[in-house]
Parts: sequence; C-alpha cells; structure tokens
Amino acid sequence: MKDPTGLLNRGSIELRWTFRFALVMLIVVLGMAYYQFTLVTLRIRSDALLLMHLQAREILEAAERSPWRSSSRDELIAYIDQHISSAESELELGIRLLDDGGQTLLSRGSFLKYEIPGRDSFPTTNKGELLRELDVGTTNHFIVMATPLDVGWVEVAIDDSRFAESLSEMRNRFLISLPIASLITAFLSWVLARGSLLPIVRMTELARRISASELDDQLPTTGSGDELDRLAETLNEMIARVRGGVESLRGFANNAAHQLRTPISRLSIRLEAARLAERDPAADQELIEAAQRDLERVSRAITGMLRLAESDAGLPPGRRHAIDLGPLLAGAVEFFEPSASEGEVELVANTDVEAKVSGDTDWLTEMISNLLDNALKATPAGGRVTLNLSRNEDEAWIEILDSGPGFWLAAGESESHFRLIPADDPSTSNRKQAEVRLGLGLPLAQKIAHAHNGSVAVEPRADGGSRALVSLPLI
Amino acid sequence: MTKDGISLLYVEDDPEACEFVRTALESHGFQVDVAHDTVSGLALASDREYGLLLLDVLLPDGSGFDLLRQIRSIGIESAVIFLTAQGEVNHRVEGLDLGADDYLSKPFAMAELLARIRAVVRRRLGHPSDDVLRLADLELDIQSHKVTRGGCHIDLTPKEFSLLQYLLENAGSAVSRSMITERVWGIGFGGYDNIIDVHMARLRSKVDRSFPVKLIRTIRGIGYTLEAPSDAPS
Repeated sequence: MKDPTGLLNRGSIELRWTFRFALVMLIVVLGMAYYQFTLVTLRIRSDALLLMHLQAREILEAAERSPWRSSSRDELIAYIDQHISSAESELELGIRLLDDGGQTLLSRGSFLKYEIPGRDSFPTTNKGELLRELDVGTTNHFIVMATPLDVGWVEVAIDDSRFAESLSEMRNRFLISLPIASLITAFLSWVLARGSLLPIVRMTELARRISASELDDQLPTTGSGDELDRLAETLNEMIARVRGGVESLRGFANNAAHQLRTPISRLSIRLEAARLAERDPAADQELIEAAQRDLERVSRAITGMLRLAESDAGLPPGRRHAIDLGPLLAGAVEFFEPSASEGEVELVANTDVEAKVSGDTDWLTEMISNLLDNALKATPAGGRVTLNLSRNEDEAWIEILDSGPGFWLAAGESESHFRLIPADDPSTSNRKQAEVRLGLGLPLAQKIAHAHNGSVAVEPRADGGSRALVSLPLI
Repeated sequence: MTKDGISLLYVEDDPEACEFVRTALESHGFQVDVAHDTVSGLALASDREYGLLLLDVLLPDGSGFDLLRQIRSIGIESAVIFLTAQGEVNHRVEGLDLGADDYLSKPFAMAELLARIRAVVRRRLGHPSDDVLRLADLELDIQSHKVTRGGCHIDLTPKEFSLLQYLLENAGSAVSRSMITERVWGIGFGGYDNIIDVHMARLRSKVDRSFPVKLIRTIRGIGYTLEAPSDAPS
C-alpha cells in the first residue's frame, strides 16, 4: 500500500482495542467462574453436613426407641447395619456410639473398616454437634460429626473424597476450557474492535480519495448527528478551509507572478536596449530612474505577498486590544479624503456609532485602507464612495459603497477568494484598470477580517459599482 | 551638523551590501564599523561606544532581536535601527517593542536610510524643550496648536498640524513618505506614497502658496524637507 504508516497506526489501534476488550471480558469470565466455584463448594459441603445431621438424627431416634443398654441392643445394631448398607457405599458411612467418657460402645461401617481415631475428650457441658475432619490412610478424607445423646454420643462419619473429586473435576474442566474461552474472547474482542473502527477506516479511505482528487469532494454525512457524523462535518469544514487556502494561494501566486514578471521583463528589456545603445549620460540617467521604479514595483509586490502570508497566520497573541471602530474609521477616511477630492470623488463617512471590537489597530486600519483604496480607485471622477458604520447587539458592520463602475467583482468559488474584473467601460482609464487588476488588497482585507473572527463580503451593486461589507464581532 | 562624528555599527551578513552601505554612509560623514554576525557585533558594541546601531534581523548565528537583547542587557543604550527582509507588521512591532528606534524593510533606498538615521539621531539628541518651533518666519506653537507665518495665522486640520510639526522637528533633513505615514498617521505599512503627496500638496498650499519664500521642498526619490532657502543642505 501507499501508506504503510497509516496501516500500522490503524493496526495498532485495532490491537489495543482488542486487547482492552479481551481483558475486560476475561476478568468478567474469571470472576463469574470463581463465584460459581465458591458457591458450589459451599453447597456441596452444606449438603454433606445435612446428610450427616439427618443420619445422626435417625440413629438418635432409633436409640431412643430401643435404648442400646437394654435387651433391644441387638435390634439397634441391626437397625444401624441396615442403615449403613442402604447408604451409598462410596459414602463410606460409619456410625459409632460412645459413652460420656468417650469410650467406644459400638462401631459399625467405616468405623470398623478403617481405624478412625476418636476424639480426645468430649465436653461435659454445652453439649452440641461437634465436627472434625481427618485424613485416614492415603486416600480417605473423613468428616466426622459427633451428636450428643441423652447419655453418651453418636458419631457419624462419611468420606468426602467423592465431593472433593467432583469439585476438582469441575476445576479441571474449567481450566481446560480457559484457553478456549480466552481464544473466543480474543476473537470476539477483535470483531468488536474492528467493527467499531470500521467507519473510521472507511472515512480514512474517503479522505485519501478526496486529497487525491484535489479537494473537490466532501465526506458523506448521514445527518444522524452521531460522533462520526460530527467528525465528518468537522473534516468537511477543514477541507473547505484548505480548499479556500489553496485557491487563494493559487490565485495569489498567479497574481504575484504577474506583478513580478511585468516590471522584471520591462527592466530586462530596458537594460538590454541600454547595453546595445551608445552611451549618453541623459539617457542613462533616465534608464536608471526607470529601473528604480520597476524595482520598487517588484519590492511592493513582495511586501504585499509577505503581508498576505503574515495575515494568513492570524493575529499574534498579545496583539488584541479593545478598539473603538468609529475614530479608527474616521482617521482612515481623513487619510484618504484629500486624494478622493483631488480625483473629484465624494467621500462620505457615517461613523458616529459606538462600536468596540477586539483586535489590532494596525491590521484593522490596513483592512479599511485597502477597501477604501480599492473603492476610490474604482470610482471615476464625479462618483461617490460611502462608508457606513452600524451595529446590532453582537456585530459591527462596516459598509463601503462605491458608485463604480471602475470594476466588477466576481466572487470566487469560496468567499475568501475574489477576482477583480475591470469593467469594459470607456470612462475607466487604463491606469485604473491596471491598478485594480493587482487586487491584493481585497484578499488581504478578507484575511485580516478572518483573523478578527469576522468576514468581508463583496458584491456588485445593481446600479454599478460594488458594496463591501465587513462584519466584526463586538466585545 | 549633527551627523558629523557620529559613529555607527552596522551588523549585516551580506558582505557586498555591507561594503556598499558603509561606503555610502562614510561619504556622508559617518564613521562606520561593520560586523557580520552577532558574536563579533556584540564584541564591537561592548568595546566601543556607538551613536547608532544598524542591525540586520536575520544573521547567520542568531537574530538581530537577540543581539539587541544582549546589547541592552549589558547596559548599552545606543540608538538602534533594524533592517530586515522579513515580514512586515509583526516584526516591526517586535523590533520596536524591544526598544529599537526605527525599523526599515529591505530593499531600501540609501536616501531613505540616511533620512531615518538622521531622524533617529536627532530624536536621540533631544529637541529643545521649546513649545514653539520656528523656521524662518514660520512659527508653530505646540501648546496652543497655533501656526503663523510672517504673523499671519494659518488654519490647519489636526493632522496637518502634526505633519507640519513633524517636518519642523526634522527641519533641514529629508523625511521620506513612509516615515511620514508611520510617524504622523501611525500606519505601519506602506504603499500610500501618492496619498502622502496629496496631503503634502494641501499643506503646501496653506503654508507656502501665498508667500514668496517657499519652505517645503520636494526631494526627488525620497520625500520632503522643510528648510529656509538660505541654509541649503550640503
């Protein structure tokens, strides 16, 4: 692929998300398994205890029915034997009767089969059920419950290795299934991660296509207003800004080339002609002065380019102050008034409005100067240029109207790009056309307004001439 | 004249431009030392006392702004003019904020540089604290904002008054159109020379038209000067 870095980055996000999802899922699965395991263990143990308790109770009742000291002792033994034999053999049920001193009176079942040691002593008061666990031999693990009789004790023993076996079997099964569960979890996590990244991948591909097709496309939006839609809208806005920038740069570069080439080629012709001609001090002097004028034009064009680039970067922090627009505009009008009246253009200003904006005096003065200069140059003798300041609650508007028809103005595809078209009107002198064609002032004014969070809109007026409207946010 | 004996330090990395400017300045009576980078510039500046420093902003081993900071930090308060081929307004503001006296964009005309050097030196030397500026029979009262010539009152707009005051403060020296734009109108960007010409024409019609002796003189390729015809410039 063309862009291995992009792929890697995408891959790593997918990997990270997969890992995160998998980790969360595994923690949940392990937690649930542990909870289940503990629950089952407790359950099995309480089952065993209940079983022993029931056994003890039955022996107890039987002993009460036929006291073992009496002649019915054999009857009791038979009852116990029958009881043991009816129990599951795996349980290794054993029953033992003891006197108060702990001496064995009777042993049946596992008590006969294995050597299960008795208790060291039995409490004489506070009689209650007593539990102990002990290993017998290598394979058997007995739980022994001693229950008090009115005289002596009955001990019930069961081998719990069966329960232990089923528990360990459960554990084994779980351990075997753990890697499989992990694999499934990882796969599901990857599917999840990929699924959530898919729209971004799609958007990346679209964005790449757009940059390849010179910013003419837009990312599709669904109108749902979800996160991705907002991202797409943001990207579209960005693309529009970049497109505006590229367009104005292109227009600017053409313009700059024109402005630089004209004087440079003229200069080159002059020098060439002078080199071939006979030396003549008067002609040389003339040539030098003309060359200086050409160089000055070149220098001015470069200055203009620098200003445009500078204002494109925005207003530097620390250059914002509260500025009263009224006096600033009045000052600019005062600056231009003499040259307007010399050109027999009436310059009218209505700036008596209280409007404060945040910005830089130099920049705003330059913006207004450019717009006024353009308007004056476009207006032939006998015309009129009007500057109006007005406001509402949030915005200040500076309207500059000229009576033209010095030039027509065609807005470019985006607002930030203007083209100036000299009107094909005999009343416009060649000088004016040439100057208007330079047209750096308008893009510069636009950029300065942008740097102040405002805008400049320029449109032709129905009766000729044009109208520039600057809007700036008030403070 | 004030220009005589003024010593200048010129820090500029282009040796050709350096030599040309040095020759031109010396022919106008300045003593010029040159340095080609900030290190030798700083060494020279701390070694000798200069009336004026001409600093290029872009130097091979740093910026002229940094050089000025260093020079100021060792207590040297000489006047400073920055010369630059870089961007306009922002750099100009940065330079002036650092305590430079003026700022000139390349390419510049020698006449423009000379006019600015003289204006800066004159400003540094200080004006007589007079409230009234005089030239021949022209009088300008800063306090009462009144201008008279040969005893006749001349009615000026506030800007025309500032313009005349600026010319009077630099009487005998040329001031360029861009100097007028910057100092009188406070506009830090050029390109309005023709408009300055119109303003000057208006001022001229008020100050000179009805008098036989003309005080305002146009200097070709530079701008204007205000002088009494008797003390013509050298």
